[in-house]
Amino acid sequence: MADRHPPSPGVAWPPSPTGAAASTVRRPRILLTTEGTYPFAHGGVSTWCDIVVNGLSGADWDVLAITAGGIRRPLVFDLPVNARLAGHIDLWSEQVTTRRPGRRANLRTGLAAEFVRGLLHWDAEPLMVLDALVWCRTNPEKIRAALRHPDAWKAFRIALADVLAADDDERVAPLLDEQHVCDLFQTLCWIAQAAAAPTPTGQQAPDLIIVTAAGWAGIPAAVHHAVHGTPVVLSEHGVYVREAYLAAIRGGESAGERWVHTRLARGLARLSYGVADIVAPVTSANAEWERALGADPTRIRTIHNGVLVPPKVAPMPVDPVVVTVGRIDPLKDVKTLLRAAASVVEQMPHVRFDHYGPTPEGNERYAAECRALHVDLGLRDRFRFLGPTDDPYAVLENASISVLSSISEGFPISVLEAMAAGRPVVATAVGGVPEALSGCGFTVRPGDYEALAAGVVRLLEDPVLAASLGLRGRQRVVQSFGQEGCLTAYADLIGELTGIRPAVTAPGIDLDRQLSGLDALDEAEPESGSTTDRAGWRSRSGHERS
Amino acid sequence: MTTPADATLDWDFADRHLQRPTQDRLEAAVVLEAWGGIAPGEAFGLTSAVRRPQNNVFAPRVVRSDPLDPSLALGDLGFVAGVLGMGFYLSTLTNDLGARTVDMAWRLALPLSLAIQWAIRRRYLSGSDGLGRLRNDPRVLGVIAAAMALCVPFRPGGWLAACLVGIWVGGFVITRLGWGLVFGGALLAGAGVLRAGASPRLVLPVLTVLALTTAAAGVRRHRPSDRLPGGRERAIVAGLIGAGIGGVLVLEPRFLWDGRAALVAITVVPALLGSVWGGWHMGKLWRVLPNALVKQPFSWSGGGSSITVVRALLVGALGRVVVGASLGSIPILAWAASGAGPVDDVWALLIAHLCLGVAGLAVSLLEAFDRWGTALLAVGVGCLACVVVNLLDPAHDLVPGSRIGIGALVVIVMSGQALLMLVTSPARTLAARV
Repeated sequence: MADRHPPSPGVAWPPSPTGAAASTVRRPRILLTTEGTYPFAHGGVSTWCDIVVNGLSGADWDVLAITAGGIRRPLVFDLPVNARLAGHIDLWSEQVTTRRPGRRANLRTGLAAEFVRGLLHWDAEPLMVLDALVWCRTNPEKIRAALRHPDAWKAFRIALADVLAADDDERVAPLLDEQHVCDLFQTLCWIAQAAAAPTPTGQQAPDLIIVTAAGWAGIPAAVHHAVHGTPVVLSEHGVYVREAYLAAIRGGESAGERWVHTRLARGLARLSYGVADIVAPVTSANAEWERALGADPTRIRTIHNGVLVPPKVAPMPVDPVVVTVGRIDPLKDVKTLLRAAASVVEQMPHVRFDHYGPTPEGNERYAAECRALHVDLGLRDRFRFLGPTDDPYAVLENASISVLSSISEGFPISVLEAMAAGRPVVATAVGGVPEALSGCGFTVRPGDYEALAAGVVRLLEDPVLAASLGLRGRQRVVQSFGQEGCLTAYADLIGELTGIRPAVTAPGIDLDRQLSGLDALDEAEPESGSTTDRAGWRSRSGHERS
Repeated sequence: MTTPADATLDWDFADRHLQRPTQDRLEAAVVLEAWGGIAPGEAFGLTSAVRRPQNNVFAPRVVRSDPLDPSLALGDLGFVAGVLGMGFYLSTLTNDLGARTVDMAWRLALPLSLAIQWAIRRRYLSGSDGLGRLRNDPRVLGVIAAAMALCVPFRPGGWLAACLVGIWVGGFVITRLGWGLVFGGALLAGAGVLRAGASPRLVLPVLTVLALTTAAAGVRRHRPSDRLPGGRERAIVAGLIGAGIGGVLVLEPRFLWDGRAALVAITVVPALLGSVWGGWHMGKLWRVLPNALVKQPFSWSGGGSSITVVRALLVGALGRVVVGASLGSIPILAWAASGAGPVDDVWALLIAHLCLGVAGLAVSLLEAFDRWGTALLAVGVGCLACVVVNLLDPAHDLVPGSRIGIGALVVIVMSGQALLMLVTSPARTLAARV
């Protein structure tokens, strides 16, 4: 690469035709950092990674995966020939490599204190901690001694006391206990380990780093960026900080745990935003969060997720079936879905709900609670947990309606897939859902199972409306959220930042043909007021704010 | 445009939903978005007003922890019985195979077995699903087989050393399975068969196969664990520490396996009993320390009740080692005083083994707290001290067990500072397990 310094974010790169010539000369090498997702776990972010790594076949991909817990993890995605697993950092694992102790000279005994001040202080400069992280990379053999030094512990405690004291009345810091302090110190040790983890250099050095979560995955990227000047793109799907808060709330954490976890997530997110040349949220709703957390607005560029569009719309099933696709997770609010299903079944006993999705590790208790609620509500075979599916379009063929009950989303691929399959969607208005649906389905207030049920009943009672919403949704996906569009946007972005635009290999979709098939929609406009007009629906569901 | 009144209202909405004071405005925005259906931009506007002051009260948490499994204590006692059983083998084996053969076998097998036991414990058995983790890795059997094969070429007694390694390592796993009493009973039965005149060349291999197959079959009954084993390097270091403890024991030159050979094994038993009791008490640390720490509000200067708790536990564990060993020594001393053995030698060996029991407790504590470097150094210097004493006393004028005692005392002294750190700053010791 001629120039490793990132160009100004506003500089446009020539579009694909000219970029294709460049790609024959050199292929960009991209380091993809992931956290708890690709290629070790299924989910929306993993699916996105899989699409991008396979679709941008003109690039060479090094995947640096961060997972946690020392759990045996097989690869659940086959990496294509242009990709390899370049590293795997397993946090809180007993398998940590014992590095030979280095010379005790020049120990950075203030390391943990620097992390505390740089990551936990509300008003810390986002990149304040970068120098300490770089030291970990350049002195990995000294980390252990530095953190174990008695001065390190003292400095850490003083720094923590300062940070806690700095919180004003708006952010009342909890009174931590000593176990919180131990846990925090351990976490900071792992941050040092993550920073020390090697990233590809020399011949394998990346031209660009794509970070898929503004948390731990940003640490090696930030260090590599600081050392080598490699440009960084942060592709944020959920909002890391928001999800950390939600996890803390739903996990019933103590005030101290909640403060530590959320403050750390905020610090890591701000670090990632700080080093990113481009922050690429999947929905403009997330951009609001990113701006609020200090991301430079001029560097934020929304690139929506994209999905493959099936060539035909399958006919609606004879018996009404409501399909949901999503993992069994408190974020997906499966309990609200169950309550909505009970309400629907009470009104329309012949309706069946089919839920597809895995129970991720750690969610077993929640899954058990959902099953208990299923029994309590007497849903029996009217609501079926059918486990994970590899073929969402096949399950959508048998769906009359698709439902999403999440309390937090990015730009959900399951909603896009339902739209692409021509199925009407009833979903909670969270994250990018309103932006995705935008008049092609119903959105309701999260947690409002009665409104969710009302939406389902409304669509089941009015097949014409359901069909027209489904086709409008499909049209919207074809025009705005196709996979090729997403890949092209990333190829352009890579070209802009590296000077080498990778070739795109997307499964061919004939937009003209698909759009021509949708012309009839203009004549079958849904009846007035039937599309979701979010305010209107919220008003109907009893939630209207002034 | 959001009015202050709106802002207050939305903080209250968040408080009501959370059923507690909202932590900060980001949390308020999260609640408004996730449960209020408010778009993020709007939610940030609503929560931008400064929050009213709140009462900040320290609320100690409750830490849940698994209770200690009493069957493991029984298993440990079974293991002690097994050691006693092996003691009874010694005079028979010495008579049948010769003192030199038995001596060589013991000196080879003891450090090797302890090394494998410590390595297995560190790599696999550190959690409640340890046996499941062990089950996932059948290569362990290969390692044991390789260690046994390594012994065989040694002459004399290589084959015997191989058998002892198999029996001791198999017995260690059987003990962890909770079948320690069965293992102890089997060894005592084996001693009886040997005394009845059966050939050691038959009995020992049979016991070896039985121990290893029982261990393997028991482990296979466990559900495989999803957790990865511990790091290989840490396991190797733990193995070296175990080997070092064994080294202190076998570097005693007057460990002669003549007619009094059983004496050495029998005098180990009280210290082993004390160690099991003390170790069992110390095992409470992992439940007691977190509970003490959660009750202690953070202040930058540290200190507090956790120090008292850890100090009490450590003193209690040491006391149990000493008291257990002393109580166990009484019948042995009485037996020696009755003319069955040399009382002075018995005294010396009991004290030496007691020291080694304390040293073992110290280094296992350090190893568990990730102070493996200090633990390794301590046992290394302890072994070196034994070698030095051997060089300074070529005529073996010192009482039997003196090398063991000196080596163990060196280990204790070398571990002292790190142990003191644990007592004076338990939070730091717990936190800085890097």
